Amino acid sequence: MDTPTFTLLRALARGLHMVGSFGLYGTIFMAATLLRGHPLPALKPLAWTSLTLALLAAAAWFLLQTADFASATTLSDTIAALPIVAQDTRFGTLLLSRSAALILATLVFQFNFPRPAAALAFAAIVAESWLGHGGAMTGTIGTILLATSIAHLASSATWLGSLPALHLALKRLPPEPAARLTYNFSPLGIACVLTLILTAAIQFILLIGNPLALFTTAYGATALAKFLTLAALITLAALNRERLTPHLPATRPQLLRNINLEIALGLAALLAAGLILQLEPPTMAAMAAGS
Amino acid sequence: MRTPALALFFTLAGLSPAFAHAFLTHSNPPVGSTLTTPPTNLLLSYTEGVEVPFCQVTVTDSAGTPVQTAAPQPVPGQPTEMSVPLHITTPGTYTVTWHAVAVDTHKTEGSFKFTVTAP
Repeated sequence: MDTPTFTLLRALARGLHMVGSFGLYGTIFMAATLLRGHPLPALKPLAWTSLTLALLAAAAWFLLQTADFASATTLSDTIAALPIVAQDTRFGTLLLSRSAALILATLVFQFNFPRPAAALAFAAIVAESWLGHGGAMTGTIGTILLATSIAHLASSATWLGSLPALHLALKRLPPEPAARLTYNFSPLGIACVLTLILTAAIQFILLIGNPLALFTTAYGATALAKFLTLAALITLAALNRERLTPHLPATRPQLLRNINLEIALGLAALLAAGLILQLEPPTMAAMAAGS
Repeated sequence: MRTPALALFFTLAGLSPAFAHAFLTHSNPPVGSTLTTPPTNLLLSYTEGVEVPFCQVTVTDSAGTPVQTAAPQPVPGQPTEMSVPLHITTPGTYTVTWHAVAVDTHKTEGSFKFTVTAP
């Protein structure tokens, strides 16, 4: 199960799990904050759709990762290893408990308690950091990587995850509250972008090290693709803020199109994140070559 | 803060790039060591926490016969370590081949030798 095809499938499953869980958290976050006082019934179906995607992708990821752990060549070998992965590995216990937290968050949101629901979903999002390099390593470097991963996940989930709910609200709210919502979303987006840039820079130093690796390794190339996607997202967000938001509601159709484009770019960035988490960081490859 | 400034910060702080994934940091018996007493246990320490149920370690003598008596065991309180019980009765060079699964789900592997001489 170490073939490139299975690596890509695991990357896809992990990326789609992030897409679903980010969408769920972002939707509940918007309901708990910027959309508080503007009840939009369509937010709940959006949350349930996101949860469904997150859980289906989690199930696929669980199965594929188990096959990889056990070096299984048949489905029966994989199924036999599932209980061990569920009980005895950090991956299994974390994925199952995070999935349970996402289900609970959606139920709490369904019963109109958006703030505790948002807190639960947020915890489920950032807990994935303990499955990354920072969560696995000990010492100062591990602590720095863990902290940057938590901040990176929190800011990307808050920004990208809120975009579907923002699109929905902008489409359905009356002009005045829709314009106010867009104004209020802007500083939140800027804070998230600054956090993403800072944490990405730290991760670049610790995991990639050499700028040349951006062009000579699969990990670096994927990181570069993520960076370019982020740059495109920031450009679009700046365009929305400077050119379109001040002229609402006349620019609402263009703004909706741009948010759709941002959602598509966000999807690409998260799929790239799913891939990069399967690859070997260049700093590690250098160590392997030197050992 | 720009990337060069961060690089300067980490340089001044004495930090180096991360070696993500589970790499062997040390072992007991040590890599390449020569012992006069046969070890009864092999201890492997890694840069990251390891998922011991899915790690594999074989220790073979010069004829390729395995001398480990059980699968790798977790070391209580030490998530980055695992131990393997050994039964070595004759002097010779032994080869350790390990396959580790880190808690970040990535796999690594490696091998090394140690020698046991007659006391």
